[in-house]
Amino acid sequence: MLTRRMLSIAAGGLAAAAGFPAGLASAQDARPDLARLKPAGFPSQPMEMTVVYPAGGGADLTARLLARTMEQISGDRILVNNRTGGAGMVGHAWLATQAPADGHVMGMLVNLVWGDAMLRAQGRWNYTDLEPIGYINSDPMIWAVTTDGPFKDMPLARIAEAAKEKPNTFRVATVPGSMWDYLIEQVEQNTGARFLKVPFQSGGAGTTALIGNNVDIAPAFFAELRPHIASGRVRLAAIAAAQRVRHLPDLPTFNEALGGTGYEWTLIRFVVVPKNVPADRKAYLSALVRQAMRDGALVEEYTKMGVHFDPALRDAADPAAALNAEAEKEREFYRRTGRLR
Amino acid sequence: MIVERLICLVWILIGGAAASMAWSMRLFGSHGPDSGLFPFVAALLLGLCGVALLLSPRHHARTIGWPPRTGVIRIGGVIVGLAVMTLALPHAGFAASGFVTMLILLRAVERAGWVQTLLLASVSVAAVMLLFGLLLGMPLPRGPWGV
Amino acid sequence: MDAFSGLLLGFQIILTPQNLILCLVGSVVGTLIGVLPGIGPLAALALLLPVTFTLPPVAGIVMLAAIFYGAMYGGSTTSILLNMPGEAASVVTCRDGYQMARQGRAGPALGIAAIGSFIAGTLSVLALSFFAPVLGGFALRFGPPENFALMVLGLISTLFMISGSTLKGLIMITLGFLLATIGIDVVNGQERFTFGTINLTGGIDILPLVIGLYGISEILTNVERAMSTSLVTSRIGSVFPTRADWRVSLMPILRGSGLGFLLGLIPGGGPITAAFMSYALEQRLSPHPERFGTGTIEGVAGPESANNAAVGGGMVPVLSLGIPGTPVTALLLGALVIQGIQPGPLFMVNHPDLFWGIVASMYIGNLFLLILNLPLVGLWVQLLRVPYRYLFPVVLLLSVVGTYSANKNTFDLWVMLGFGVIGWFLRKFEYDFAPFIIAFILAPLMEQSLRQALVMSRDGPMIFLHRPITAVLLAVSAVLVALIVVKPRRFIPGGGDV
Repeated sequence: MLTRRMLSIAAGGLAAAAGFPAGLASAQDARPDLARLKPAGFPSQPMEMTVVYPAGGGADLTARLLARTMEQISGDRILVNNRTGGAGMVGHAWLATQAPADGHVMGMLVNLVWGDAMLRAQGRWNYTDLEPIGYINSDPMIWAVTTDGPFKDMPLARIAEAAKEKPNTFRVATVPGSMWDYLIEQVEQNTGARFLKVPFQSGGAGTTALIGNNVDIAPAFFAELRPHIASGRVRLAAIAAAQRVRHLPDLPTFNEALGGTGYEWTLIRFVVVPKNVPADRKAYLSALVRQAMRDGALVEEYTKMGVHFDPALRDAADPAAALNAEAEKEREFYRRTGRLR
Repeated sequence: MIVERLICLVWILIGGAAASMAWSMRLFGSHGPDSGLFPFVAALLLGLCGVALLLSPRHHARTIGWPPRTGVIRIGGVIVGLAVMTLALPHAGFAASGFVTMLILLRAVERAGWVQTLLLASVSVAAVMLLFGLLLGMPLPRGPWGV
Repeated sequence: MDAFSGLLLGFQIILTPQNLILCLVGSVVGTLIGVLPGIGPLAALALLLPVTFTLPPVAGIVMLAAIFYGAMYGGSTTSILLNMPGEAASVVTCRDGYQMARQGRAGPALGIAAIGSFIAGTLSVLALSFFAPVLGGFALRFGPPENFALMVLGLISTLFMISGSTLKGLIMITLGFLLATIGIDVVNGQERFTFGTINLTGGIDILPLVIGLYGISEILTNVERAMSTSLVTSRIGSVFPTRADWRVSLMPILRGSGLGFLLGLIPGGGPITAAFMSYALEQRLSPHPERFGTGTIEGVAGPESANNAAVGGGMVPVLSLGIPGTPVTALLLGALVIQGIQPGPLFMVNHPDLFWGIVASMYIGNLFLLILNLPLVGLWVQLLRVPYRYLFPVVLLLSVVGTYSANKNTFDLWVMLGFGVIGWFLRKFEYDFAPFIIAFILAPLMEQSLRQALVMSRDGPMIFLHRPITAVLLAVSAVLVALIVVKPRRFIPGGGDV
């Protein structure tokens, strides 16, 4: 499914293998560039970084860290504003249809916005109403099992086989209508496995259920799982990324483990502006985000949170095009699975 | 009392309407209750309790203290003030909408003197802006004129 | 390392001038935000989170813990003074606290809330220090079936809370249930009662709901008649609780602490549920259940202790397992992670200095808040002397801004206003909103966990009998139902004539 991305990741793989984000060394060099790009008289008031999820969540934290670094670099105020409601839908719709397009409002989004736009916006707005201006980081989905559960030492292929031999016996946590669901569905379709899908409100709740042995498999993100891996309670089965990730070099991808393609589900965090923001302001903001993402302290804070920097997106010459390509892939998935006519 | 009966009717109507909507959401799925069951049961009970309340005057309030005519106007003023603020807030910004609301509440509802009204309105709006905007760093909506 | 030497280490680490100043700043800011209606602990923490990133880990956590506790303390203030819940967990406090204020006893109500919170906070941190690993394991045993049984028990205990007409109480419960189903069904993603508006897809937010139903409706009731005087005209008596107040409050505080702590441990529990269940318990145990709701001090002491103890309880799974049960604890966990600290099963072993530093900071935070809040009681009580005609417009302004600030969505303001009007109207007909609120909170958890349990069960409903905790909780619920059915009049004031 994601062949283009696999190619570009192969190209950027060297940087990832080297250990730290490329471009870190050039952090200082680009600053005069930024000053040159800064449009006259902009910003004329504090800028807003919209977050569509409640204060205190992962997205909020990501945005607050980014905004702080951008403030330090630019010297302008950037206030994080949580416009929440309807599991992000209210904020997404506001950014796409109501936010002033003068460059004073940015949005820090997670790629769940695409599903909202394609499946739930009912034509009121489209994801193209929001123009990506910079990539932040990613979190590929991981399947985790407990070390004393039925799958304690099984590779993913064996797990799928077991779930095929005894259909509807093994329990996997899911969040309905999201990538949690889609990944399980892909595994079921391609391997013939059948799981009992126990719905939860969030991925975190699924992880808790796994630790308490209330489910056998939990799809989750590295940060949530990290303490339980350290304590030996949880073992990781596979990661739904195109390539193995730097911080988990021994963890096979779903594609490797199941010998297929297209098992790629990742939370992607990025910054957008409403469309029709003047080109010079957009270029400046884009450069500002890029500059912030080269800040060693910020990268370190994100690394502590356990995220993944996808080289294909981070080093893309045109982040907007790269992110929009990801959105198109998602649309393609919805088409193929009949979710979108 | 007639108003109390009308409230019972409202419960019965809400219960009935919600129950029929819930019915179409599927009550049972392959593992037991589906989306419709809980709202259906709740709506049905609500309707039934409404009927029971309608039929048992014993449960009705004995005395109802309705406000005098001036009181109705005062309450109307407060509601209008809040509605104006809610409507204007995203467009006119906090400073303007808050000030107008304070004028409505103090002048129209409380009939305070102009001096007190203007003083209290400006002081409280400024204090809130200081508190939220500066101290807490929570952006309040701005109007087209920048504040 | 045993708990004593651990605590000693913790206190050595945090007792520096810098940490104490940060603790003080955190307490003040937290209290301030808690007092403002609409913005609660979560907003307070999120706002100040970036500030703490520049501090060393222990200092940052000291400040966050102080903010968190401060917001929980402050939440009860406006509940008592104005019937305006400062945050959702203080709804219960409105019931008797505001009545006490109307009778000129705002001082003792605020005092007992602060002292109860202090005792509960301290006890729960003590329990945390000594039993964190064991208790963490207990929290893990609460999967969907256990949560369902707990919610059933919670809902049944609210039947004891119905005051006045049982029938009206039942209407409020079913209405709360029904309204709570609005939004996307978590189990299968289907939309329910959203009528095509995106504002309803996430359901109705609890905060604007309680602010409208309690605070706004109270203001509407008060402005019915022009009031040239202040809210409380009777002499405002002693500021501190009397000896008699102490006597009746002590047990509720202790019971509330225990109950709140246990409920806080469980991911589905949390401060609101703890406060409601404590109130129901105190009413049930009281020799004068009929006095509840008319301004009895036990009705403030129990719930206020319970919701603060739940905070301590909630820290147990975070620190011992790295599992957050509420959004607030999730945020604290995030803050720790950014500081490079990963709480989890090995946290206490690998970083004893940090673990005990955090625990010690919670003791200090509680103590600071008590010292800060007791003098404030006198100040708050003075607020009641402000002529109401000047007080209420300012309170309205603050509630609008606070409510709007939480989500930046004017829909929330319409919810607040709408429920304010509905609340004002229904009060005239003696409807009580407490059962409505508790049903609204418990219903989604109850429905979701029932359906989750049935999906994960391999033998249908039998799952509820095979699991010991579930079986016990359901048995207790059954006993309570039996009590109500057999002797309704004794257990439900005004009950028995359904």
